[in-house]
Parts: sequence; structure tokens; C-alpha cells
Amino acid sequence: MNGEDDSVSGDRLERALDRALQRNLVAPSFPAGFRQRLQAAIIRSGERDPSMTVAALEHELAAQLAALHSEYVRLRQRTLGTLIGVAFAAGLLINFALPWISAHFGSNGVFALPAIGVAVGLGISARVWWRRSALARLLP
Amino acid sequence: MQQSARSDGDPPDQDIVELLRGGAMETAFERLASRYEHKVYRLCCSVLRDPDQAQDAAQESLLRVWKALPKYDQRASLSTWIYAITRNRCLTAIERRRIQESLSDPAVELEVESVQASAPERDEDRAAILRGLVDELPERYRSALTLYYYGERAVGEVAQMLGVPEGTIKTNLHRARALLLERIRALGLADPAQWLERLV
Repeated sequence: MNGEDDSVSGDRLERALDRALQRNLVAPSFPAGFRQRLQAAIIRSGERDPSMTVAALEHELAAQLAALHSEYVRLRQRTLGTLIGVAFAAGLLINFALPWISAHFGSNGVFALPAIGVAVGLGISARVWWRRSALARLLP
Repeated sequence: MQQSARSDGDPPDQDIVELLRGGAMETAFERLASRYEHKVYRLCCSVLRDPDQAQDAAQESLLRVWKALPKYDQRASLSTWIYAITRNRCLTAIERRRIQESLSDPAVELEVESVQASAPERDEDRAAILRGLVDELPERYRSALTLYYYGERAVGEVAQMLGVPEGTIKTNLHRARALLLERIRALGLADPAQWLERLV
């Protein structure tokens, strides 16, 4: 019984201590104008020393290079996608067009018209490839 | 005990880290200062026990954070990094103070003794005694206790501020309270709980 009384009074004491600490351990109020003084200290500290500036510039350069590289990869993926799409469309077109060409232009037309189309397509592809390769060469 | 809460699945301060990755140092620092200046100041107050010195140390800490920001490599979380810098500044301030002053201040000790010797009836006296008892706690208990009650009573945050595991903070809080209770009982009060409850 005595042990229970001790435990109850101990709990009461602990709760009272917790409340007393809550009320009395209060953080000092945040100083007014702290941020302004901090900004002034930053300005007074003389901007940044050269090593800081170099580090910041290196960081910026690395970010730009990473952005350029990801753009380059995206461009290559788009080119590959376009080529596959065009090849598929061309195959589909030939499949439907060949019977029509042979009916209207005879047996020579079957070879001549697709050959002209292939030549034009190759010319366009070569031009695009050349321009994009020239762009790629600009990258490190 | 209340634990530190995270609002969602994102790591804390991810927005600041993204700004740093993008090289927007000034915006990142602005956001960081708004988020941490109060906490940094509280940590300095707890460690240094002097609001003026705490203000200087908090300012120096954030200035150092600003200067080191381009070198922040994300190995530690941003808050851990900021608190580590702050603790270092506080230790430097303590070292500086130790060189300038003598270790003990007889005037303060006499004041505490005189308050303890007389019957503490006034609320101000009782509050002063309680704060005096807290100040006399071993440093690791005192800093854990003050930061816990200065802030939102979040064990996780106190652990991060002091750079120790949460379990250590829980143990230190428990021991700090036990020591305080022991010393309050030693004051020879008729009803220590009532005495505490009457504290403003």
C-alpha cells in the first residue's frame, strides 16, 4: 500500500516537474533584425573569396553540361524513333502502292518510282544526319 | 513523447537541395535561413546560455553556412550539416569565452546559494531556483532538456541538433528529470509537487 502511495506521489511529482519545465524553460525571444544583420555580415564578408567563386562557377558549368548531354541523348532517341517510323510507313506504303504502280506504269514503273522515292528519302536523311552530326561535334 | 514529424514522403529540405543543384545559391540560402534561423538560435542559446553570445554565434554559423553552401555535397542531410556547423561555432565561442573569463563566477554562485538558503516563497524565487537547478545539471543532460522544452518537445529534432542518437536523448532527458527531482526533494520542501505546481 505504501509502495502504491509512493508511486502515485512520484507520478504526480514528475507531471508537476514536466509542467513547471514547460512553463519556465522558454527559449529566449528571437532577436529582432537578425536577418538584416546577417545580410549585412554577408555583404561585409566581402562577397566570396576566389575559391568559392570558382566552386560556384564549376558547379554551374557542370549543371549546364549535364543539361546539354541529356538534350543530346533525347535528340538521338528522337532521331532513331523517326527513322523507325519512316521505315515502317514506307514499307506499308510500298505494300499497297506496288500493285497500283504495276497496273498503271507497267513493270518498269515498279522499279523506277520507288527508286526515285528512295533516292529523295536518302538525300533528306543524309542532310539531317549531317546537320545533327555537326551539332553533336560541338559537344565535348 | 512527441517525435519529429515528416509531412510526406519527400526527404526534408528537398526543395532547397534542388535549388542548390540548379545553382540558385541565393534563393536556396534565403529559404534555408527562414527555415533554420530560429532553430540555430535556439541551439546556440542552449549551448552558450547567453542570448547575446547566442545571437553572435547564430549569425556566424549562418554566415559560415552561406560561405560553404557551394561545397555542400549532400553526404549528410542539410539540417545535420547546418547543426554541425552551429555546434562547431558554439564550441569556438565557448573556447573564446574560456580564454577571456575565469571558469567560475563567484557572484552568480553566491546568488544561487542565497536563494536556496532562504525559504523560496515568491514565484520569481521558485522559478529562479528551478532554472538554477537546470543550469547545474551536467552539460549533456542540460542541453537535451533545454532544447526539448525550448522547441516543440520533439526528441528527433533535439537528437539532430545535438548530433546524437534519439535513444541517447531519451536517456538524457530521463536522467535529467530524475536528477532534478532528486535535487528538488533535497531542498527539504514539505510538498515538492505543490511547490512545482505553484511555479508560474
